[in-house]
Amino acid sequence: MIEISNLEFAYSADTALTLKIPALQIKSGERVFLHGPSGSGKSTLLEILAGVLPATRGEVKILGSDLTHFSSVERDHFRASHLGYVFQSFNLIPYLSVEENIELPAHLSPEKKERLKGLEFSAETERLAKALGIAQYMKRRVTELSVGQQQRVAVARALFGKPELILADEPTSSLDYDHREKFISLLFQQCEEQGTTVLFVSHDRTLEKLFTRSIAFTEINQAQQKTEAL
Amino acid sequence: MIFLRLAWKSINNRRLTTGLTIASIALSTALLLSVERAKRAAEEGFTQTISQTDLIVGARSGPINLILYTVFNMGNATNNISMETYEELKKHPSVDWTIPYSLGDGHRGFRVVGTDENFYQHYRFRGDQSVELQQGAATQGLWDAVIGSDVARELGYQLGQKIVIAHGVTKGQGILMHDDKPFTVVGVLKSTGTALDRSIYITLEGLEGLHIDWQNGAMPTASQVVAQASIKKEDIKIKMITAFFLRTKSRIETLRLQREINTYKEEPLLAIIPGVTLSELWRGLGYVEVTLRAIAMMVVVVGLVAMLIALLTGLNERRREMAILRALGASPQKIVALLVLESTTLTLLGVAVGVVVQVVVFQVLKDWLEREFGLYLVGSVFSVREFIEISSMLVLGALVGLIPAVRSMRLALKDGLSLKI
Repeated sequence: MIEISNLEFAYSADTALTLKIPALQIKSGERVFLHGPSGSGKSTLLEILAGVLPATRGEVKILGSDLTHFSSVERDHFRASHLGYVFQSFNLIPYLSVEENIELPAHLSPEKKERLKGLEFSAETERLAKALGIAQYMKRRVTELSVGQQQRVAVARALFGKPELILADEPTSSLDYDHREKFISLLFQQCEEQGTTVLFVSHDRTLEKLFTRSIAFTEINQAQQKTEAL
Repeated sequence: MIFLRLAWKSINNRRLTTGLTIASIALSTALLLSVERAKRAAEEGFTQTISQTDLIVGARSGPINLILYTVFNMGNATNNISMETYEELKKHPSVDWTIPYSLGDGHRGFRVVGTDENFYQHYRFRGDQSVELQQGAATQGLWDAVIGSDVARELGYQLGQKIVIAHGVTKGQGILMHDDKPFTVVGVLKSTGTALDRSIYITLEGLEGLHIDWQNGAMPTASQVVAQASIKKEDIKIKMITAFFLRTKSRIETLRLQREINTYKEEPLLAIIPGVTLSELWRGLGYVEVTLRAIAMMVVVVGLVAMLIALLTGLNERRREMAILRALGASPQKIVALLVLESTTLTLLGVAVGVVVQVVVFQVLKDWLEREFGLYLVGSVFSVREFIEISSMLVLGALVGLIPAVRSMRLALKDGLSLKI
């Protein structure tokens, strides 16, 4: 699924490397927990995997395609087609309803639409919403939802159109502990059904046990860590 | 398609600010178009102040001066035309009708015009509108007066009102008053939106009768005064008039007749074609138009700046939204397109509302504008110029939208997906 070799990244030519990852491999169907302190470059790695940031050097292969050979438009297109992304918080577009938020990927990606195999958007949305326990909020404004509910809407959107990989950037940090486990189990249940690989980034190691594999970010990233500004 | 919906929902979500933005664009559009329309209406009203008159004839002076003191009640005649000349030209085979005008006296700031029944019968303005009475009748008797609608309204005169005419002045306070020979208001004209509304009409004989006992322009002494009651209309011999309007039997004869009058042997005369002189005069007033348009343009700029401010202030709150769209695979270019689409929609709505407001307001106020300001709303609602203005507003709106859009693209590239708010 993901193959990284000799990845290097610096925000600009004259700053120190943020990332230096000699190798990282994630296989299809894995649920990987990537943990490390804040400011260590985890989010930067996710952005490179998502194709928002270009790698400075090295290879980043996802689903066999090397992102480093793509133009930015191709990377945007790749992300739309094959990835789901969940933010830490504020995942939703405030002026769209829950339903419209979930269906958004289908409008931006013909491939995701394709994967529904002619199924109505609303049917897929309903299936995901039911599975995630947010079916009763479909027509609501997203701002009326609690943070936990909003994160589940975000997951539904990330899962919509059956992407091969979901990248999640500390999506549980705004939830309390009980909700975190519930949230992750709901996410995994759906990923299992859809055969989606998960890369989950967090600094909170209490969740580690729920995953099939755990990676300490500081072990794979050899870039000189700058001390975090307080 | 989704972007159209997103833009619409986003606009709809920020109803208040977008509403205000649309309103400010609408108002500036309406103002810009109003200036244009009012200008055309004013020009129409101005050049149509007198119509169907082929020539205006007066003592030799300048064309502008002649048209000012006859049609616009401004300035004074330098000389008069003798009655013999007038009578002769009146009988000229090419002449259809004439309207004599005798000027010089006034009443409380309104000029007094001595004329005859041809004025009521033949005077035309704005195409084919004739002089009509809203009350009473045209002047018959020697001491009858018909007043314009503004005179009636401003001075509160009714039929039967006695008025005293001041000598030699049409503006301001008179010094010498014809207070021994008052006139009686017998009629009130309908409003015309021209200088006709600000005049008082008496007969030529009446005006002559006022001065019957005057000697070389001096007030009569007590012994010389001729009592009003003893003056008979039949006895009065008119010696001079100030100017006259003339209609030819066939338009083709106008230029030939004009030359003939201008080279008249007995007396130095000037004949002008009113349409030509009015257009000249209007062009001379062009700076007013330019000023108005400049002001309207500035208002348009203010409207667009208001939109720019609204879009830029909204932008920070929307960085999260941009990040979400980026994460879903929207390219930065698409985000720019979204914002440009949004500002274009705003401009489009604003301009549309502005056009509607302008058209409706002018329709509603049509009569009032005509009555009060002599703005004569004719012709098409939009001229080519207005289409150009509307189109340039739309283009400018889209260009203004580019500023926040480009900024948002920079932010989107900088923020990526890891924006922390």
